[in-house]
Amino acid sequence: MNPCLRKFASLLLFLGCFQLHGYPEMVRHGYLSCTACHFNANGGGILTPFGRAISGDVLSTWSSEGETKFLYGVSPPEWLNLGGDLRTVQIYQKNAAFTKGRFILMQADLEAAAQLEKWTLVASLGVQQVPEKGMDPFEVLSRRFYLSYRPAPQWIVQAGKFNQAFGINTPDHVISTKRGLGWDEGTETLNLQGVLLNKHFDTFLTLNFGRPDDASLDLEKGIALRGRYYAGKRARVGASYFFGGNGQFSRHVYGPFAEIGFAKEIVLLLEIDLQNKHPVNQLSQFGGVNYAKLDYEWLQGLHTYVTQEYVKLDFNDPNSLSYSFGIGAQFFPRPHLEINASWQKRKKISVSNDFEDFAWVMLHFYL
Amino acid sequence: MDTGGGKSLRIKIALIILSSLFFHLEIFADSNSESWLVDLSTCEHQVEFELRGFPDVISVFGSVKKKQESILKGQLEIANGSLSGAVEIGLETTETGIAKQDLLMKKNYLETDKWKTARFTVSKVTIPGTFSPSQFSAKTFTFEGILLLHGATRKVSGTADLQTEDQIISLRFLFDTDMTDYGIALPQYFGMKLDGNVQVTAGIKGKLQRSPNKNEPMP
Repeated sequence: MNPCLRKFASLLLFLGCFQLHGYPEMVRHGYLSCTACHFNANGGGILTPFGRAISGDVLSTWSSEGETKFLYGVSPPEWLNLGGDLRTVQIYQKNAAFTKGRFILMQADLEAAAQLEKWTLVASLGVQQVPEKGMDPFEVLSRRFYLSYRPAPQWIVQAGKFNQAFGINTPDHVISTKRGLGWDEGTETLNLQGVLLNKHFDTFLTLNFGRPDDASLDLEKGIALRGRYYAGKRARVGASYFFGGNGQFSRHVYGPFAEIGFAKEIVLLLEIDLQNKHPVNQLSQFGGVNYAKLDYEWLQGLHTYVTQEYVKLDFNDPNSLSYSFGIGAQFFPRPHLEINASWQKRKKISVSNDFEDFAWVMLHFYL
Repeated sequence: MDTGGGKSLRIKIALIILSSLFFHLEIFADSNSESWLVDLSTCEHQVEFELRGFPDVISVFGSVKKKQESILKGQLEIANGSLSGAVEIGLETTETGIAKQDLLMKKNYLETDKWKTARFTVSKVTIPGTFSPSQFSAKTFTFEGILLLHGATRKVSGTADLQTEDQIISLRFLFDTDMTDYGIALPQYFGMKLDGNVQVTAGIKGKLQRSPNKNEPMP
């Protein structure tokens, strides 16, 4: 990284730039559509004024008047919304072969949303650490930029770079239904998305054009369809389908999911996906993944949770199996702050028959 | 030729028929010709509401919480297959579980400092079937009523469920109404607007008491 970029990165770090991800667990409070709190129709990213307000009223343990504002008090003009995220993680991994720890700057982004009548332009700019790059591990990127048009209250058309809508949109990108299916962080693509909103359901159709600007990434192109039904006051159930591929394979991915708030304190996230994968010049594979998280909020802003994950991308290949069980705690003490810690016992048969320990502590500061 | 035994048998049969008729009349009297009261202040109750925002769908829901004393006042009467009466509901304990939301709801919209209660008067309910306080069940039959809320009175209609067992009655009303009809502003908070339509579910469970017979001679 050149010195100018490094200074820019440092400045962003100093400013605590961030980009708030969606919390599907908020469904337990009756927040059924993502657009209530986020400009992105699929959730995540820069907050709407309402989303910012409830980050104090509902998400955090303590808050004071005006504390949720950008930079604790900046009020930009009404047509402009500003946000950003700083996210770091400390990882610990222990197994029979090695024990290691690693600190990663995951995200330091600024994001802005400018609105003009039915049009909204959203763009983020930030840095992230890519440890694999050794001595110069920082890179500048725009994770997300898009233009959205809302011709009528129930229709949104969105074009730009963002994650396609598939399954549960959780910020935890290392889980089985994200990383397990190849949709880890850094897989945002150029998309054209149509969204139909209703009082009782929403439907997302995404045309995914991959990343034609960077052929080296060889990201998939395809089409994704997701529908969600708002089942009662605090639950969503839905199903997703994706068909796409790149130079290496084509695949169909499909499955149901549920986000169920049993009470305002308890929420279950559950997703099951099956995959039919057709690698070029190889036998086809049929497999599946699942993810489950049960979260309990002890007092406003303080959560504990248990997780379960399963991946077997080829039901005929015992070595493709991996699974894990985990516990965690999440704390939103005040607006702008999140601490999340998780410990998992996980087993990947292709590596070892023994469980390994995998733990992380994530600090998130959102402006 | 008639015999004494035959006569005795006929008398026995007549007695059985008469007693059985009497038994049925008792049942009938027990159910339809008598009236039954429910004192709402002694009932368990559950009053819940839900309203939604659109197109950004959020569901705001809550309930009127029970205080030390009952939030309900009034009584319901079941007589001649009909239900009548009025319920007064204290609104100051209306809660959604989100403190800020509750504060705004009561201060800016329900204005509970001025309008502390709502009153629901059942105007027309015909209970389907033969009502019995000992064992009865009727689901989703229609009702009409009048709701006094925020100082305004409007007709409402919906469906009701009614069950009895050993003189314990469970009654549940479900209806929709529009807040703007009562002069309540559409709730909004940082650009999020809610729909005016509110879905209300009100349920009570309590003991049925025989109503004093108005035709009975005074002692």
